[in-house]
Amino acid sequence: MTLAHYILRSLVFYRRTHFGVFLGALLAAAILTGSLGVGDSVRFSLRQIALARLGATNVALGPGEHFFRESLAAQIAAQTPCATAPLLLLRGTVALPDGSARANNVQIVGVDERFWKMGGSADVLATAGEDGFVANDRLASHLGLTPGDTVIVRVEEPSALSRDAPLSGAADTSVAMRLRLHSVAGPNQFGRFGLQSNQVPQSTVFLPLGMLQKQLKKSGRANALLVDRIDAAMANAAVRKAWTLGDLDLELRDLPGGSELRTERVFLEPAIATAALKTAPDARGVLTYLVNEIRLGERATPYSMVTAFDSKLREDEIAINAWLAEDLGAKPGDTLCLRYYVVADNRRILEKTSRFKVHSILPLEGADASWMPPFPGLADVENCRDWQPGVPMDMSRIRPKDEAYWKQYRGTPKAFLSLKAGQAIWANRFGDLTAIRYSQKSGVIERELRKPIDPVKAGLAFQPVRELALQASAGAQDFGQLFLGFSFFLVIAALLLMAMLFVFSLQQRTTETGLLLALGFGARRVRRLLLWEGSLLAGLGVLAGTAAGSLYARLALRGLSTIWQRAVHLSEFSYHIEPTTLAIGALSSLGSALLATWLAARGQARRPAAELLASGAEMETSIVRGGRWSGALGGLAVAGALATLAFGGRSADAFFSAGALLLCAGIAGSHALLVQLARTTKTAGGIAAIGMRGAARRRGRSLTTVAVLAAGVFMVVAVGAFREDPLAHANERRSGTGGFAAYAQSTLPVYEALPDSEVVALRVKTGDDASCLNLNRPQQPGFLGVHPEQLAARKAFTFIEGASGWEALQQAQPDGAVPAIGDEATIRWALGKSAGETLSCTDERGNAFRVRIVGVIANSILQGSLIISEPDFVQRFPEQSGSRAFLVDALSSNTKEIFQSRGAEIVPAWRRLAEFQSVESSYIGIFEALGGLGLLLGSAGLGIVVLRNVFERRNELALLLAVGFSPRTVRWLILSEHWFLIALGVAIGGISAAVAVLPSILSPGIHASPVGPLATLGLLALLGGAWSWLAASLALRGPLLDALHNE
Amino acid sequence: METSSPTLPLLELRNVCKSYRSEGGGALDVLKNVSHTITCGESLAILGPSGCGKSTLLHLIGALDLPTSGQVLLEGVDLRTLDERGLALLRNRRIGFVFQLHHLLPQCTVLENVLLPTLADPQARPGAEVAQRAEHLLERVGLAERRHHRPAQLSGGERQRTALVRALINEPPLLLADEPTGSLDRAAAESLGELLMELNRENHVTLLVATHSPELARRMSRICQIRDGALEPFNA
Repeated sequence: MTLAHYILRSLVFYRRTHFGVFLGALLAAAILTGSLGVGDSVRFSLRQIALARLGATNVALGPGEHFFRESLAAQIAAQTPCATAPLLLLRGTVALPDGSARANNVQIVGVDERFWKMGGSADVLATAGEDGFVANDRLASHLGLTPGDTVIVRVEEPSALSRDAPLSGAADTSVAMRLRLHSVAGPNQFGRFGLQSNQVPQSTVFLPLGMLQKQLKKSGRANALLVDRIDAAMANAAVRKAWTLGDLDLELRDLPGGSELRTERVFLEPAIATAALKTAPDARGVLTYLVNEIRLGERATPYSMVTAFDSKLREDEIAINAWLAEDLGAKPGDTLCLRYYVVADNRRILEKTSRFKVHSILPLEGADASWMPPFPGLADVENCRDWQPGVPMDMSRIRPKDEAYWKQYRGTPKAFLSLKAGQAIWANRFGDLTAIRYSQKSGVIERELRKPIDPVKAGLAFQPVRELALQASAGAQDFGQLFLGFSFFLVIAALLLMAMLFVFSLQQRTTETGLLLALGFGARRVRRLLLWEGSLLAGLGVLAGTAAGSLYARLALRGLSTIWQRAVHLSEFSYHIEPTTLAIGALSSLGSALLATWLAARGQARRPAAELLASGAEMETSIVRGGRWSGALGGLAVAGALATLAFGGRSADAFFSAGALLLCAGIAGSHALLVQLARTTKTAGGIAAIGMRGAARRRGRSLTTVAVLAAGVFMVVAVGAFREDPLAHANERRSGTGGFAAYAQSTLPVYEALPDSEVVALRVKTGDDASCLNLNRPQQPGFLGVHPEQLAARKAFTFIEGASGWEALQQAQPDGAVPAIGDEATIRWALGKSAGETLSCTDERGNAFRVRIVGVIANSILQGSLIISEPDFVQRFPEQSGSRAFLVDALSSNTKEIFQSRGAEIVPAWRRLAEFQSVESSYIGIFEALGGLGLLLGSAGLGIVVLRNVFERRNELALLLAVGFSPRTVRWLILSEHWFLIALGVAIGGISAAVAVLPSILSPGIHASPVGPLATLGLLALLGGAWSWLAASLALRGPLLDALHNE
Repeated sequence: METSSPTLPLLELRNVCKSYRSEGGGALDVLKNVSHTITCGESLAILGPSGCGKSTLLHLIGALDLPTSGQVLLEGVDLRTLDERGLALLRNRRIGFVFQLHHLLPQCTVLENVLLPTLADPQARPGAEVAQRAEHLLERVGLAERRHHRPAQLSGGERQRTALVRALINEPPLLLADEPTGSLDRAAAESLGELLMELNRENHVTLLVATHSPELARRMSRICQIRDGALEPFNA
């Protein structure tokens, strides 16, 4: 016989009573481990999604502003041990030919066999034919497509020159393609390809690269490049070796007497221009511009090219050619007036005027059309009447002689200015030179040009997309902690149940405890024995629970992918748990279970052995203490609640604190009431009164029951009331909608200036979605560019941290950081920042810049991106032309037409807000469901208490029957005792929760329905009542009177 | 094993009082200035009606409870000077207790119940020696064949004999029995009484028995009674 032997014997002998304890430990461990398993599974699933969208891709270039040579891919592959895949990656719309369905913001990808190889899939486009395309499963299901279906795919024809730039050509230059669906690519066919960290796959169209190049007039070009195996540094080094001027849209061409560097982008990027000017000592900058009119008195020449270059001209002088001199009748000394367009900040076109004195008249012989840069809509047009320079033109002003000049001399400038003068009036954010001329031939210059220009800094930079994707998935919202929080009440309920059952088991063995003490066991040793027994039991429960945790996790994941899908926007999860997580879950469960066991066992063997031996299972003490203290404590808590309400303002926090204090007061008051009932010597007035007094016999048990029920009701009801109604205050400027009627997002940019009274247009730099809809931690958040004064004038949205208004976006930061404002969910939860903090971001050319959060606005429709001022936006993202997001106050038919033509999706602002709020609502739903389960467990605990109470008192009940009480009356006696406890718990929880959520209920516009909370209370009362009835019926079954014989 | 000299008092009670506080705030005096001496090898029966304080006195002597005032000296040691651990050690080594309700552990066999006190002291004697003694004692009380049975499989007399063997396993010099025959039939009660006296004679175990039974009391060398809280010689 050893102590281990004794413990084992006890475990086996009391297996029935121990089963409940085992079950409690199992449940707690299953929930704890399962919750952590949910976290691992979500992370694992996000990682799988990230890997599925990238295939073997390690680093990626673009999609950026440059359309580089497709052959760059092969050159990089030849230099390094890697495989490459060039792509054309654009945004577009896909519509059914009859217009019955349309998908906006679709990813259009031109690919060849290298892409599919990168994705580890067969080339599904190989047999697609000329008009065949592959859609991914998301797009196919969105549009209901099946192979053979025809669609219209529309993409914007790419332009090297930003459409925001002056003279950037026609605005609407989209290309429409009628295509036939060849097949649908699922996750295993690389159908989830995407470069942005988001768990929601993008709708995608895959087209043969060659075909798309042809359609977009970009033969042999690509704007994105996927590379496997090597890192970004190695890939960038390969780019530095292999690049050509053409990869940066540069062209070096020979001219008579030298060469000229120019660009398809019309304006040379300032950094490149600076480098190129240093290449040769005789390099000369050139700026050629289209002027609307050159006037001398009553005579005017329309639409002419004027070139500014380094010359001997003074800044107020102009040299004109003989044709212009004749047309205007001008002679040296005359003052000419030049009218020309410039593009203002908000893309409004302004016509400006400058005056110059004629310095000299140049002969037409040797006229050189090469001064004119490749203006889109001008350079390649035969007739003046076909010009489409992207600015308003009065074609009626073009005379036959102007047409003749164009035909003969093309874009030969009619006048020349000094470079300084030209740059003073025509420089813009895209550059201040249209060409650089050299006296040497291109062969010599090209070699020299490659030295100072870094193609990586100029936009051909590889990003470590795999690393970023894995970081994003690893840093995702921790669903383990979230579910742990949601399941907290359930875990506590399981542990309480377990502890209570263990206490019952120990109470059943009180005489055994007394005997051990009488036999010479020390009290601590007895407690240790009991603790060992409980610990083994808990250990077994935890072991089984850890295994059962996978079931809980799978159930939770199932819930997340179905009824709570709005919380995650993901329908597929893979169950996965890390061994360390399993160990943490098991150990923390064991720790919790051991703590519960210790708390239960610590009270044992404290009373003298003689008393324990004499009292048997009856542990009640005849002396009732503590009523005054609990009464005083309750009073103090009520006073605290009142003080909180009086001095805490009308904030939700104050009310919630007051509610929580009332809950404490209620529990303390319940104890005082039970003590009072135990002390009362007044004759009970009826069966119910006797029953209620019965609740005071086991005050600890009764109080636990009341406290668990009250706390559960409080949490479930109070949290449930935090559901927000997106319609509330939706028309107010300070609400989450900003008072806007709708939010529009266009697939293709809108370049036109829209009426300020109707729409606030926002520039968009797409990045990782930093809203609550993205589970990944955004690595490179997107930006919205806004004119702060437009929002400030409307006093739109509510600032809750940092600045108090939109003007803060215009205040320069001392350290040069870009001031930004963001939505609360974006700043706090997605980015983990707060007002005043900075974060490092990357501009369009891959250069890092600092962003300072100057203000945080309350949850709103602007969730997902950082908002910066338009000037800051265009400085950092000059190529992001036009606007793609719009806050709409009103929609005229003209604006609506523009939106339709650009694939805009217009949603009511409240609906967009509701979509964001649905995430929070889903979380509340999860909490309510798990809290409800906890309450169910709590009510089951109540059933066990009833059973226990009744079995302990079988003798008394038998006596009541013996003296003539009917079984029905005895049942009523039992039920009245326990229903009294249920009523007490539900009332305390309900009242304190009502106080906690009072502000939400009283707020005008919030349509909080009392149905949900009342249903919860009703269901709980019903369940508790049913458990009590069932337990009482079970206990009263059988020959109860035999109990009297056994006494 | 420690032994007590037959000439020295084994147990001395000096002005022992025990009172309980009632809910009304008053005190209920159960024992009043009880003074008594018991020498080694004696057998003493304590008689008295229910509630007179017999069990209370036994509990005080058995170190299961402490007196309100006065001293209980066992082998010259004042029990009040011992801490909880010392009291437990004393109960384990120097005192054997037989209760009216045997209090056998239902989860353990007869042999395991008997060996239970040996687990209380981690520095106890080697297992084999104790097991041998347990077997010997069980054989002596006629339970050798029942040693692997559970209490539920025993008769009332067998259960009480098992409890007696359990009380003797650590060879205590003092055996306290609180109504040991109270729940037994006449034959079983007689058999147990004989056994107790046999042990008293042969093992020189000092025996103190609280009982209602005049038959059992008559077997003892001395009989006392508790009247109005005082312990006094019994005059039939």
